[in-house]
Amino acid sequence: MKATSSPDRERKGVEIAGEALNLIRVAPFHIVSSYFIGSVPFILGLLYFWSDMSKSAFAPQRCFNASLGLAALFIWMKCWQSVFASGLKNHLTGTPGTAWTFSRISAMIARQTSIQPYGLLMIPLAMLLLIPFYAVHSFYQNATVMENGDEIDSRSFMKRAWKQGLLWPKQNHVIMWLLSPWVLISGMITIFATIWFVMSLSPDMQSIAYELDTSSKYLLLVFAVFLIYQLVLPLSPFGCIVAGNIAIAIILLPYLSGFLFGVETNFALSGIHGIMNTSFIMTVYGLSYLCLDPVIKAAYVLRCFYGDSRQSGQDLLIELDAFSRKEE
Amino acid sequence: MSIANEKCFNHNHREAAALCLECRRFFCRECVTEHDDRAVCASCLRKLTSAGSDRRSALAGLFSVFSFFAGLIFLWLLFFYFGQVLLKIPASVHEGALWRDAPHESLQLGQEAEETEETE
Repeated sequence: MKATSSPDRERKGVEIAGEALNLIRVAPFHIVSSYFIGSVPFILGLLYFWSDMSKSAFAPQRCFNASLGLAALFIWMKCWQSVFASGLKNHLTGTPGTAWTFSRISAMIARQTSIQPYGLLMIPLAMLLLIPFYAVHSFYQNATVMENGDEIDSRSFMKRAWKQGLLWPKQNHVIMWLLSPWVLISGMITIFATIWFVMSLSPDMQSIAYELDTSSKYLLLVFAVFLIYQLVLPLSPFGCIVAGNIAIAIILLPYLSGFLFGVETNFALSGIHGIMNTSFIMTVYGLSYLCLDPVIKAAYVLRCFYGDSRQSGQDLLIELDAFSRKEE
Repeated sequence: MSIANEKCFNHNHREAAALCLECRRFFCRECVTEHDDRAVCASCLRKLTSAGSDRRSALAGLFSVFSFFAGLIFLWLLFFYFGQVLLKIPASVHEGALWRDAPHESLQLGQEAEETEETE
């Protein structure tokens, strides 16, 4: 942690992102694992739900129950993310942290269930309107990271989360641009939708695509993917790099296993059709979310910590403590 | 009962200045306060506010239970309609076969049209 020149000094977004990565790197295993205990089941549930609803003949009968299961997994994920953020904050401040009693857990479940579901609708809506996006996005992030099961009323909790979200807008925008999975998915959807729209409007392009031979189609596809990647890259640079790496790993690993060990998989045998489906895109996005989201949560933990420190002076106390230990 | 002849309930040596409308006792200026546009003594104020906070906490409890179920049902419906949207999207889009299958379909349609022309 660098020395501060004034208590209200706005740290740069890149600086916070770097600190967030470092915070996760030095955090104990049980804190980091608490994130994945919550998020991995939800992502697996979402992928199952997606592929079931898009392929299964019995999906309409299962949809009602499956969506309840997915809702339960979402609450499960949000609560564990709060536990993760609380652990990170304790690690940051050097406090041992209080035990998660039954009353604290139930208060956390009640509050997260009453706040977070609306974020799934409010964040995309705010994204369409653009201007309030940063405030809405950071409100829901803060509502996750500020949760510690304390029995304060939800209204003052939300007021605190909203107020904290309005702090340092420039820094907030940089953090979202670099790390937010919401920005990555919106970039991906925008570009795919635009290409789809253009292709569907133009019958000439369709006929050109039909008339091409297989190798030319492959070349065209590689060019289209490259073009999409270039267009999404400025929208979410870090997210794009992560998603690109994950996609390449998923594509190459089955081929490598076949090439090196002679193990043939259905994925490798299906060729281009293994990639050209929505389940593949969702898998890449789900894995990218698992890589990006802990970092953005850590960044919002830091933002809340520095925001609170403007009044409590806790950041200075930690620096003084570190300094006195160095002197000894 | 005239206030001019009364002393403060807490301070015997002080003249009474107000009547608490809750306990109907007389008090000096320092012992009464205004609450909801009425003069009340300190002990009555404490009782009133604690009763209010009890009511408020009971209401807050009810509200949190309501908002919990409202959030859960909202989430359930949101995922349900998300599932419905996924069901509405044709399988050819999910499987990326939209472009691949279309020429075959058009070819088949063309062949069928040729066959009908021939039979006619």
